[in-house]
Amino acid sequence: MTISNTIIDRGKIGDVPALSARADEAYTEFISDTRNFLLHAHWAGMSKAGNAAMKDAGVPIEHSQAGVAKAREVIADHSDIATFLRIKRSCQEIYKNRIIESYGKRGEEFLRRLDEADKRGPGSVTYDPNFVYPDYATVDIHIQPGGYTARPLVGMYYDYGTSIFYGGANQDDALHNRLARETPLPKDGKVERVIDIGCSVGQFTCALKKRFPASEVIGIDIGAPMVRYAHLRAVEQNVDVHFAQMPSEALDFPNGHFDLVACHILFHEIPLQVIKKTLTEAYRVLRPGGSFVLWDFATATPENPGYSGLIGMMDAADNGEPYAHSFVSCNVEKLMADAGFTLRELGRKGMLACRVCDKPV
Amino acid sequence: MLDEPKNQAAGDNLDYVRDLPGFERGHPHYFKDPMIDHLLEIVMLLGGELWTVKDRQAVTEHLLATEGKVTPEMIEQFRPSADMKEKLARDRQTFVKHVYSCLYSDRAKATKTDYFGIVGKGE
Ligand SMILES: C[S@@+](CC[C@H](N)C(=O)[O-])C[C@H]1O[C@@H](n2cnc3c(N)ncnc32)[C@H](O)[C@@H]1O
Repeated sequence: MTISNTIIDRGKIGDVPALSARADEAYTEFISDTRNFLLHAHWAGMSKAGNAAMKDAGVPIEHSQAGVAKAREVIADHSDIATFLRIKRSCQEIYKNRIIESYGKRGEEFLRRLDEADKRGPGSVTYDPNFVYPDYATVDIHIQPGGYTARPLVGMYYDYGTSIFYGGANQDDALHNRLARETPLPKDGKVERVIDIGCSVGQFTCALKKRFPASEVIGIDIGAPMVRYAHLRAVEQNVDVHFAQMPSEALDFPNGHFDLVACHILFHEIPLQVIKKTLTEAYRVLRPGGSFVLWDFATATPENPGYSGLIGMMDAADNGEPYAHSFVSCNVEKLMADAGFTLRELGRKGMLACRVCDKPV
Repeated sequence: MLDEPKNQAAGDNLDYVRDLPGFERGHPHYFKDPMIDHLLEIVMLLGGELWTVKDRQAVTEHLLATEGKVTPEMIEQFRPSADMKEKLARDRQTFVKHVYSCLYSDRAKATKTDYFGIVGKGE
């Protein structure tokens, strides 16, 4: 509540439009700190405590509806774990709703800006207003109402929301710029065409263009609202990249078209069958000698169960991550080899792993 | 690597995804008595609301001290200096710690404090 209902343009914060009211911004900053303090700081401890509680109760961690139902009974006996999960879910709901509500106050204006940007350069965007989304892509992923596909302003929600998810630490796309800088080249060093698959709002796509300014860089994503906002964001930064709505499992490019295929945290958000098709497609659109760089969660091991422990399972169930478990427990390196790739490098950075592989000459 | 997930055998038929935990958002609660969930949620909501009031008061006081007057538009347009931003962030973090520190037992001791503590730093 304020004494005035005037909605004014509050400018931008980094690359994303500011929320419509100072109170909304203060509120989401509070959630961001709460997440840092109550969730991130306790993640490791709660993961251990959660797995121990399941073990003590003699309940196996089983990623199914029945397994989750049994886990809920165990959690109800451990108030610290219950508190952690309650806060986690509430934070997600609270800040996502606040962002939607806040941008909604200027919704028509933002829609108009997306329409205008559609026709402007540098770069371009293509999408199909009649695209029929496969069921798997309609999940409210991270309990974002409407997921990546159903609401026209979701690109903005995602951009602002991830700045909270990253705890305020991804200012000016620092993380994406680092990933782009660390992206290894094909062995012959030639990089003329690059594709970023599952590009979301184009942070990595733009970072790749900055790393390879002379190359043509394309970002594809299944969500029309994502690529439309990615394009608007790139236009406003004057970065010449091309975005297209396209499923990763059916890439509309000729064989051998790209020198580099990059993919950051898409695979844990798609079903295994789609991962396999995506790998086949990535292989097909790469030229012989080209390379594929995949960033995503590390594969789970018994010593390092990661997403396959209790907290991971509950994140899957209550934070709209239905496919993460099958990703961390599949051997993606083997799937890459099955698709024809040769694994060059497997690096680990905390929760994430970087797999670099080559298409043999 | 752990056991291969069962859905690997599902071929091209993706109907099974509808039954995976997380496909439906649901309305989970974690305590035996869901009222405790509601109360915690209310505590979170109120914490956020109280912080917005504290933030608004800080901005109001700052504007009064520097400009001699304050209007709702001035508050909305206000962009704190780097110093003030840092001070607000410090106050907010202290407020969060002060209000919520007692929530966890010792067995889940705090470790890394942000997302980059988990995935590695940016630039
Ligand atoms: C976690 S985000 C990726 C983040 C992004 N790569 C970055 O670096 O910030 C996952 C994205 O994948 C997209 N997606 C999901 N399924 C897809 C598919 N089959 N093909 C292409 N994109 C897909 C979603 O719309 C979403 O924008």
